[in-house]
Amino acid sequence: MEVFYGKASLATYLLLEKLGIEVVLQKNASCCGQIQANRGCRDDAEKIVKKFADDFSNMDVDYVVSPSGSCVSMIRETYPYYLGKGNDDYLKLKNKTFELCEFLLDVLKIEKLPYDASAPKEVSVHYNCHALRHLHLSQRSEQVLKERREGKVERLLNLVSDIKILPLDNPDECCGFGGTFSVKEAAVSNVMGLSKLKQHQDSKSKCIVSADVSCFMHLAGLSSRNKLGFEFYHVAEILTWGMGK
Amino acid sequence: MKRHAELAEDFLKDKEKALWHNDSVWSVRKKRDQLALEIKDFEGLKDLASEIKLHTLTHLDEYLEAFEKNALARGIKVHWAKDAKECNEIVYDIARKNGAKNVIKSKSMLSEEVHLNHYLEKKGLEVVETDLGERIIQFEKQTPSHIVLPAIHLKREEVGSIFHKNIGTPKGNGNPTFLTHAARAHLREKFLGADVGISGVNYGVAETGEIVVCTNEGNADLTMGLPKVHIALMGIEKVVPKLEHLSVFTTLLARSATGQPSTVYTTHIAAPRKGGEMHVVLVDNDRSKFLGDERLYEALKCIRCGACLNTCPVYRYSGGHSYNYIIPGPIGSALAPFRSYKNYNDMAFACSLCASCSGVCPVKIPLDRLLFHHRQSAVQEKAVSKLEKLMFGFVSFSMLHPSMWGLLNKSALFFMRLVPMKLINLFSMGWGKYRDLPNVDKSFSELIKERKEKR
Repeated sequence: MEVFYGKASLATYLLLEKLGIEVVLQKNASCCGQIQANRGCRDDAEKIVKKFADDFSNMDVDYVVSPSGSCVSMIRETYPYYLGKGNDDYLKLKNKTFELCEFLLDVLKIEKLPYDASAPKEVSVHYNCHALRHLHLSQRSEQVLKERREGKVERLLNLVSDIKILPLDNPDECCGFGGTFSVKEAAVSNVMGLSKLKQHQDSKSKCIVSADVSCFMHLAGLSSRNKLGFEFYHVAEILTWGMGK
Repeated sequence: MKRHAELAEDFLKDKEKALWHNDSVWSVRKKRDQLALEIKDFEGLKDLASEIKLHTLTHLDEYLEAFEKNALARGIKVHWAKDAKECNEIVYDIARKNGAKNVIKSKSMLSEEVHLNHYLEKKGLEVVETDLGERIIQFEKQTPSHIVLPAIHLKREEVGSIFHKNIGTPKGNGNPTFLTHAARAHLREKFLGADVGISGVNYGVAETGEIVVCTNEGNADLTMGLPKVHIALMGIEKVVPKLEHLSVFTTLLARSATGQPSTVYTTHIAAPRKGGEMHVVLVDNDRSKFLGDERLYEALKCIRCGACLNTCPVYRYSGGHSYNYIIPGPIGSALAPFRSYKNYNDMAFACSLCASCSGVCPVKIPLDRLLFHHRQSAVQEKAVSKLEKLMFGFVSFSMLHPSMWGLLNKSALFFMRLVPMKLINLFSMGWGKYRDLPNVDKSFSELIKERKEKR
């Protein structure tokens, strides 16, 4: 979010500010520790998790908001593994931490944007697996349901005029990023990513929107290497289009 | 021994076949989705199945003893095997006492786990698999690449040539119906000449002492019913308390496994055939070790439906033989590292942690969480290279020290702006082989600073 996707971070910041939220940045923040955790470096992960929990617990804020579903899933689902389930400080932090789409739709309950957001584009949506299966930003296809609700990214994009959302055949399929998986199992990761991009191509989309940029590093890297010409945007970026006018 | 990542890379060299494998396996997952919708509350049924299993596993001693008592009362002989060696010895001993030469088998993942065929063959017995898929791979001396669809990695033409080589079907005939008829004729001979039939067990009912075997081809019924001696191998986790609990599992099993409303045959065996013998071998083989682990014991809920394999993109794109353990895919990767971190630590990493497996599992095993847990133990057990540990140590240290982290980010930016992307890609290991690094634009700190200066 700092080095590669500064624009997405800035868009999140501007969007929240425009919605009347006072945004404070945690200058000490580095990482939630997911890389270490998923790699199995338990000792390192535990230290980073504790630092993160301390840094953010000590802030005098009502909510902690992150434009990354996988980081929020780390805090919500995986932190208890290192911190213990009954840790009071952790529970307070957990209960006030939200992924951006959740925060906009479930906490702020926004129904429209306070400016004329417009994005004349045909887009397709990518959910990262943790946002989908841990945070339930959209309904998972594994779950046997008679009726399906619209996903949160789509609900937010529908607040923007002129946008057209193109559906995918199998939107749940993992793109094969998976953090260090993309390096350790590079061959499988590659074919998973290319299959995922093929789905987007088949939908006639040239522009992929997600609530999480971590998979984008992988997908954009593949798109660039294979000259597929996709554009990638964080949902916050799309939501801020038209804000300055 | 090659690791999953290398074996997967080999599998993916035949890209067309890998994509075909993915499509075939995924079509089974799609059938599961359709069939599951026919049940009024499939998700509720999954909860119930999970609870029955958790209850049974936490009262396993009581139910196993009840099962033994009731089975004995029906004239079924019950044996207890603490490990693979004991299991194989018990089976061979029964065969030897009956002067057996020819053994037929229906599908049993437990027999694969204990390497029973190999053991019996070394003792001079002929062992013939009667499940079609198992028979195909037995001809090729392969292991199953899927727990329900053991020959899913083979195309029909390949099966045609295996049959041509082994049972003399015409060269070049890959017609599935023709090949099935040929296999039936071949197997009929084996059924009629068999002295002992060995089967697996899907469920052992504690209340009644009977066993239940679910199959699609009817071969298990012949295996259990034709020879004078029937030996059933049963993992100790396969016991269910009462008959009434069975319907929960039979409703879930075939739907989750192959997208069928039920298996074609669901056979209850409650006594030896007239004048014959029936044995049940209760096998532990590390199951009590799992039972003693506060997280991993949930893996024992597994009913071997294979739904987690069908949904797993890593399994679909890498094939079952890329996993070194006899059970591939998510459930195999949950079971294997606990048996030996040294041999199987790579399996917990053959996973993008997408968690689709946990969502389809009909008994709600938190598979992705178990793999996550294994990863922590794998690294603790020094199953990860020193260089990697060192690199991670450096990154972790920086993350813990804000000024260091800031410096690291700034130098990364500086470096990537200075050095051409093509050169960086050369040194970015597995990453650069297939992908470019993202373009570096302005960092968040720089953008925020610019904005403040503008105001």
